[in-house]
Amino acid sequence: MKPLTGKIGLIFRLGAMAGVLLFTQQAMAVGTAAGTAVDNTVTVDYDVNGVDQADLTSSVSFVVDRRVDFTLSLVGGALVDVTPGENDAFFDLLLTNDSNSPLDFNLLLDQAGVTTVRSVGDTADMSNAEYAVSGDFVADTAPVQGGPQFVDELPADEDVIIRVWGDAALALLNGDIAGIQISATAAEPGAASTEGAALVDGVANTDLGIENVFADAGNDGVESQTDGFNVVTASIAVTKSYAVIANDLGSGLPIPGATVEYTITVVNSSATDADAVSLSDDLTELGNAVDLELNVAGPVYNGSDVAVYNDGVQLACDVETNGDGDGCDLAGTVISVGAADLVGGITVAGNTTLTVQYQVTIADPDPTP
Amino acid sequence: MKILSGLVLAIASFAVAAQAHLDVQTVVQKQEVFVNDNGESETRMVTADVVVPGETVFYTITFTNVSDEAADNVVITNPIAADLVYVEGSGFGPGADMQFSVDGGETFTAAEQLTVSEDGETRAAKASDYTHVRWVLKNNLAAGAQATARFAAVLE
Repeated sequence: MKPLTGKIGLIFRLGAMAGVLLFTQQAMAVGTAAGTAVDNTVTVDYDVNGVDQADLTSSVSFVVDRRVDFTLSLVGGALVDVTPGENDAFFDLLLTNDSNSPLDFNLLLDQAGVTTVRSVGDTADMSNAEYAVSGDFVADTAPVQGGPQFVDELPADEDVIIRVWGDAALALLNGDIAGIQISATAAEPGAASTEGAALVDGVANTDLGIENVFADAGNDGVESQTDGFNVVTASIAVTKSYAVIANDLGSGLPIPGATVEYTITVVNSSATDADAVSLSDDLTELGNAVDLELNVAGPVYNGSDVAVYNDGVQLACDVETNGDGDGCDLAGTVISVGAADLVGGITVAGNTTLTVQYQVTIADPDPTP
Repeated sequence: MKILSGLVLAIASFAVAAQAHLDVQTVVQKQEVFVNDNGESETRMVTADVVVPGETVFYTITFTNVSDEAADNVVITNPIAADLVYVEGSGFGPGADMQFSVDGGETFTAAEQLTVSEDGETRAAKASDYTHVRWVLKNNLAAGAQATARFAAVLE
């Protein structure tokens, strides 16, 4: 065997290796946990003069540092529709910890500084905007108002729901857009139920602990996300018409003794439901000309005095049993439909029509026995 | 993070007064991009002070014959830590045959001859299957001679 002589300096071929290996860093979710010691021990076996020598070993190790990577993403696919006066409307965001370490996250809500949301200009603010974090990372239970205000010890490769609520003031207009931004800052974990301090990028090796390497989208340990609300109102149109059903002379004219059928239509031409709809028809101006006992002797609507068709479905409505809770009342000369007796009033769904019909008899001003 | 580095000499029980013939040292480094005085980006090797998942580390083993006798049959064996994946083609050594193990160091052979069983079938071993890397020097290491071996691995 030919002995090697002199100092054998190995050519590392750094240039070539750099080209191959420099960009081997890859996007990784989680990976080896921060703080893990990666030990390496090399063993050298050799002989001298044909005699086996004791093995030599040499060790080196390094500690895995904290790769701080996380996302704050939208959950819903669109702005949340709200109607003026609606309270506690909400949207959700999802915070995912792709780091190789559990993390705390400081959270901050802002809507005054929001100018666009989902590429739409921000035009309004919600009232009483607030947020809370789900208290269960694993089950992803729904956050509750007044719940945790920071993310506590979110494990690696785990996510948590952040819910943002707001009230839509009555003054908001159809088409108003209200965006709310949540910013999440990666924070020091380690103390359960205690909000950690924001992490600092570990530029220098401290020799003592785990360095932070920011690998989030902004490489700064802070991610923000904005979602919001779209104010929509129902578009309601009301029309009223009448038709003479019969009179004594058969003329079709609304003469004393004639039966007149009134039809009121409420058309919701928007896509938004109109809730708690009620209407009243005051017949006072007809004075004594109308027999407000209604024409119960005439056509009866499935047993009711008043026909109420909501999106083609007839509701029971009988003024003759005033106060029976069916939602129809006759008080003096006012016919009311959809009173509070009907649970929640009547909902006229988007692009549907509510129709109310009733009949009256025109009284004879000088009835002759 | 603290770099733990040093030489550990296995003391031969049978030769209390004997001096080891070889000096062995290991370092772990990584590549760093920097901008030189001309404003150009270059890479350089730096101590692996800060390492996060996805990064590549380079192990360099330097062994020196500090005796006045040649060392024969020199074999350097390096296990690959469980959290590391050997970078294919990265192993390099002077006048040495490189061998690998996929069974925890029980057996070694050339990379192209390694196989593993998976789901009842045998397939060629991949770099990610390697558990150990070994350099078998083809020649003696003369007195005063120094040689170096190196490999790279990615931190999972």
